[in-house]
Amino acid sequence: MFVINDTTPNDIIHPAACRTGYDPATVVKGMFAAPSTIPMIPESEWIPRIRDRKKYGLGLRDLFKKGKVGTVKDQNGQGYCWAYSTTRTDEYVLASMGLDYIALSAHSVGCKVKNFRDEGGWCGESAQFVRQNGIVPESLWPAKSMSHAYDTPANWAEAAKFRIVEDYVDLTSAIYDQNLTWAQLVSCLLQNIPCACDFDWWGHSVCAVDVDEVDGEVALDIDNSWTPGWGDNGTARLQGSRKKPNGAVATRVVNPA
Amino acid sequence: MKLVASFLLAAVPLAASAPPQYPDWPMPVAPPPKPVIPEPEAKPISELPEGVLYVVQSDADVQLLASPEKILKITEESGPVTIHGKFVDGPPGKATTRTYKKKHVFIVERVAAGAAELLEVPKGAVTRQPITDGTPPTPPDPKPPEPVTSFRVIYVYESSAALTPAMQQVMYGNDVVNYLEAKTTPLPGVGRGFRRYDKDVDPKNERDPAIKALWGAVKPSITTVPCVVIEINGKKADILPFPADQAAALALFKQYAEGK
Repeated sequence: MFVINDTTPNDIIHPAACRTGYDPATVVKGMFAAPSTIPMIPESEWIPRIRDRKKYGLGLRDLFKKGKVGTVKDQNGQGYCWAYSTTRTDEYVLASMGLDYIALSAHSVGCKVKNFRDEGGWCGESAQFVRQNGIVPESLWPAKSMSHAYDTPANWAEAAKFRIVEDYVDLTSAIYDQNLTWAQLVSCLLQNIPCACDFDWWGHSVCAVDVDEVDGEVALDIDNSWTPGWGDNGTARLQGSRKKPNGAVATRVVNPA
Repeated sequence: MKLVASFLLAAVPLAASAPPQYPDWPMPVAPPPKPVIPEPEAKPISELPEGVLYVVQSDADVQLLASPEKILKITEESGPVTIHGKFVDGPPGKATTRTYKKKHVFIVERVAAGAAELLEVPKGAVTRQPITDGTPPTPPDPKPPEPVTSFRVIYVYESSAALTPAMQQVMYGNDVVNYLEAKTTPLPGVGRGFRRYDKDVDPKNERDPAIKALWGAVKPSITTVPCVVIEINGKKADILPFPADQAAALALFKQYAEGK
């Protein structure tokens, strides 16, 4: 198990250039003010549920272990982590529905949102795009490709099959400020709803897959997009202050395709 | 007086002219008399093949019984009655029409192989009293269950509602998932034959046509979630209450997939 906590050195955390769109000079911090419809799980139940899920294989991490969601993705050193995090949530929801794994091209999202510029962004931004347009499968837009050749109407027609149709997102806030509280995030993950999460301390966005019990604490179980060679087969557990995101959206429903 | 005589003489030929000619109208012809068919007498028989009738009639108040039962079927009619059929003493293989005029007419037919005897007794003189050796009757062999050639399951739930630990057990538990992965009918390259669908899922892009058709057929009928849809052999689809736990889910799925 690969654990990142408050004392983890930065050189472990930042082997590759990656950035979210966080710029403290321009971002206006806001409160998560919209009423939440997330069915909340009391904190007293978190640890018992985590143990139950591990015992019976109930979580999304178990789908990963069973090979139902492929391997973690590789953003190829480009600044599209914010697109990879949301794309990975889409893949998890499809696997959760019982469908065989289809690799989706996060680069198709990043390229279209940023007009093929290698730029940072926010998970809220990619989530908005995926709600509207979907994601092109890697069979049609190869992984890590920045080529305009794949930006075709036919490919986007296929991409529409992978739109997010229901999610939890704070629409009362600007894209760069859409977040979930820690309790909301844990409640989603305990109900097998994956979340794309932005971390200011990391300048990075990852897919939160599950929660885990580490040293008696509820830790965030994530899929990174830095190849399976990073961390524990591409995954890690976030503890302490580093586990709470500064931006998050939760993907609930993708139409089956 | 000649004129008078002439007149008289001239009048006579008028009175003595030929009678008028009328057309020759055909006279009504009476229908030929119906042939009198003598009432057939029930001659005793020793053989009664299947498909022919043996008719016994009597004016006395009698009952006709067969022993044992279930080999001959006896139908009683009140005469007069006309019967059309193949009679045991009629032309072989040919149906004819007979009229029986007596008060009680009994039509005897074979319904099973075997020997039996007919008993003609006064009405009410015989009462039946079945006696067995205590062995309970053997039920007919149960129809063999239709073999299961396809088996599909859809869990239906509301993704915005709480996913309780019990629901998670039923939907994601290792035991249940392993069973469904082994038993449901897959479509290679698409997925196993089971799904977990939010109740509002639009299956238009579902690549498994059988599941797409199944969802399209049952979705309008789903009123309560969570629930589970089970389909067998591409025709029987049931919408069932969500199982309470993994054990109940397994039992339910096995009942459908294996007839257990």
